[in-house]
Amino acid sequence: MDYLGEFEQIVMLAILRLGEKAYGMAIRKEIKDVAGRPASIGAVYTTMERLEDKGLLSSMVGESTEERAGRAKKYFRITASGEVALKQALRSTAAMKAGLDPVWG
Amino acid sequence: MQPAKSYSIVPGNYDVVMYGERSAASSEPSPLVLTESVVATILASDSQSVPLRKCSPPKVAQFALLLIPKRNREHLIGDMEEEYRTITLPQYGRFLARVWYWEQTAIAVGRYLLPVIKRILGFAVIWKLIGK
Repeated sequence: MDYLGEFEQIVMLAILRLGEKAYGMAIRKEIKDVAGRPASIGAVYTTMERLEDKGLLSSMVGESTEERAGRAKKYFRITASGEVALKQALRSTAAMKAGLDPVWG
Repeated sequence: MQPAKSYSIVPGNYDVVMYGERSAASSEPSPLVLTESVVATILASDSQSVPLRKCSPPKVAQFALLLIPKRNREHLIGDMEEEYRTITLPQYGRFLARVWYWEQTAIAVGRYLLPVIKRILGFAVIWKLIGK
């Protein structure tokens, strides 16, 4: 069983939110807009590479555009084992958080 | 007479500028003519736009990005270039956009090189200990 770090969970959730349009720049922008957390492109890519090596993400080379100077996009999607690992990680976080409402006020 | 045909003008890219009127009597389009208003629009858009050669990211930073492993290099550079051209440059201007590009380059190269440097340093320490 692979345990996911906090940033790994955020990246995977961003990929899920974006669906078919999940590529580097869009993922970074989604994290910034939704989570309000600045993330560098380098950090996003190293995390996605790690997740891909673990078999939790799969990738597909897409189209190239003029703004990218002809360089191809790389689209990411979550694999079945990635989905299981993400659900497990979120369940663990929710379980740890349960019952803490009175403490936090 | 049919209404005049108009096309959007993209600053810095005059290839897409076309303007003309199609006469109802003739099926052939009239020759493309730039009217005064179109010329004024082009000049106005040009005064706000940055020349194309100045839109490109810093060359030295792009060269430094070659240090990134081949696996995702092309896609990472493409993403950075897309964000630089479409978001950072129009929003913050040339100077800050270049600063942003350099910052992203340093972080990206650092993240990939740091494990390699750590490994080399680790080997160096082990080598030194064995030597003693």
